[in-house]
Amino acid sequence: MFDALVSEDLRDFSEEELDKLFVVHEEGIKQFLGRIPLGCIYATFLSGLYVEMEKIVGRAARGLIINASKNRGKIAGNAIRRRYEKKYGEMSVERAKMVARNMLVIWGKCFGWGKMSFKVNDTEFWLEVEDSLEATGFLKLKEKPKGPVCWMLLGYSWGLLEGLFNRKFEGEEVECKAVGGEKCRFVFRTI
Amino acid sequence: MSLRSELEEVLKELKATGDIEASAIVSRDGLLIAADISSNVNAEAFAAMSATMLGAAETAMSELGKGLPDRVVVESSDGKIVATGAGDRALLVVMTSPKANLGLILLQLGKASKKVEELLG
Repeated sequence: MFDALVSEDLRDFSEEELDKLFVVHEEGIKQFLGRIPLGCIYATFLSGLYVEMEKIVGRAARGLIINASKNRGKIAGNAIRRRYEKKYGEMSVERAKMVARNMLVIWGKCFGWGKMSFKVNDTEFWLEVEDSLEATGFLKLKEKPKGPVCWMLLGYSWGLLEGLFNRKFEGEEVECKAVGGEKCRFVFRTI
Repeated sequence: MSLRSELEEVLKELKATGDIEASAIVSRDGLLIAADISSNVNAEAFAAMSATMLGAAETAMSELGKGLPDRVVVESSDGKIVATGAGDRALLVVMTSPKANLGLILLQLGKASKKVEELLG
């Protein structure tokens, strides 16, 4: 499983193929990479959770979710990089880009976070998401957001990149379907 | 001079008043804009926590019908944290030594938050 994550370009793999590669079904429990249990939540529950957090701490809810997700994404990125380096030696920039794409492809196709596509150059990583779980959830709520809402995806991707590349990035959701965008678009720039 | 440099200048001037160990300008939604914090403090977490403190205080005060708070002050035996609004888009937060003169700090903080508000438009 790990070898496929760090050595194959997974963008053209179907959901079924990815599921076979990365998700183990055992006694009614789905496990990612054979050891991390997976579950589903409905989109309006997730976006509703953000709305409720905003009622308690105001706009700071956004920073809390982004920050916490970024920290967990960074832990995942660091863990993958360290495991790779232990087995294969130093992770090149090109390899890190591919692994980042692969992780997000899995989030999209296996975990249902939306259809993801990527553009990468030397200093920027662009992520586009059709039907983002977070944005879709907000579109179905009566509470209308004032700005982009894909906080968890922004934070996780941002931290994942920092962990994989072992350097700092600036991240932003520049377009969000929940506030009238055609799709959700994120940019991450090296600092 | 870039906007970030101008904001960092505000923090430097604030530190020059003495007893301020760390300071940051944070967006109302908890993301770091500028900071003067030692590298062993997680500035991003400090930013998110400061915005959360002020946000929670605003909710609590408005729920009780007492208007919006001017600032949040947290005191411990090792120091103080003061978070105050700096316009609609940002807040200013400082961490002080335990012996800091709170009156003086609040005065300087008021002036600095006005500057931040002007700079951020």
